Amino acid sequence: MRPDMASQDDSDESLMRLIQKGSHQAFSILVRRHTDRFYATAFRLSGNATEADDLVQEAFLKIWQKPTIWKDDKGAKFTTWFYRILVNMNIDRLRKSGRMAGDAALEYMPDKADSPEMQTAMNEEQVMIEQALASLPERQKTALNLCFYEGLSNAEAADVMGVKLKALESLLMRAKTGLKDFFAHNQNNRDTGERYGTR
Amino acid sequence: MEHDNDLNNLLKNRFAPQVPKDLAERIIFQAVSNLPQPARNFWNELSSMFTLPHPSYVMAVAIVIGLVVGLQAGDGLAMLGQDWSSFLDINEGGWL
Repeated sequence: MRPDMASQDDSDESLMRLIQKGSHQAFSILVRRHTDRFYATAFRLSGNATEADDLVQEAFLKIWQKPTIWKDDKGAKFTTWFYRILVNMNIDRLRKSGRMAGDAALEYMPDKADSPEMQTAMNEEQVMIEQALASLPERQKTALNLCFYEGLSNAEAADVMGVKLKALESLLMRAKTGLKDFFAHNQNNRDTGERYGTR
Repeated sequence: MEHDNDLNNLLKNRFAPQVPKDLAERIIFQAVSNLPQPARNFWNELSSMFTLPHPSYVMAVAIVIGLVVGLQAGDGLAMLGQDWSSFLDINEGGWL
């Protein structure tokens, strides 16, 4: 009988089963395989490199310390499940810092793009995109990140966020409307330096 | 629809963050550092301070020690026999 050794060819779900048996090798393979991808996700959710770093670390360490939270149901996909962990952790982080009031829209966020680390790497258009996304309510921003940037289907994104499909579609529609309004307004007022936030 | 395409094209230009090169290794190292330690029971700890050898080992050692002492004591018994005979002869023609 082949011993429970992890290999690079193992699927994510197989690696999770090995992690549940205490395989550090399986955990290492999974971390190296997905760190880049989930760091990008965490960065888009938090808008901050340091917080993205913390989010990814905490999420991976959570599954190492409590591997039983992974339910090996038929058809359960690791990446979708991990997205859910990241999204929930981000929400918890925002609530603890007092930047989120239930499902209420955030007040307009200060320009995260103004941090020195990002300003040196981003062009003007990218700064405006970050400002536009930061102005969205958190749930709209999350829906947009999952569907547009992570490539999840609407059904998968709805599952990650714990909402119904129609609710997700509504979030996406409102997000797009908010972004269009933001760009249109800032385009018109660029010379005056006026900034516009959406709610 | 055209507006959606324009928006989509704009959003595609979003800044892509650079992943810290050592992030994966830091996570793996932290997981190793936090490997769970086996639960330590007070009574187990206490009994380990007073560890007694297995009875069979005690018996074996006792037999060996007994044989060694017994072989050495053989000479002593012969000497004791000599002492007795000399003791019996002590008062022959003595001061009584």
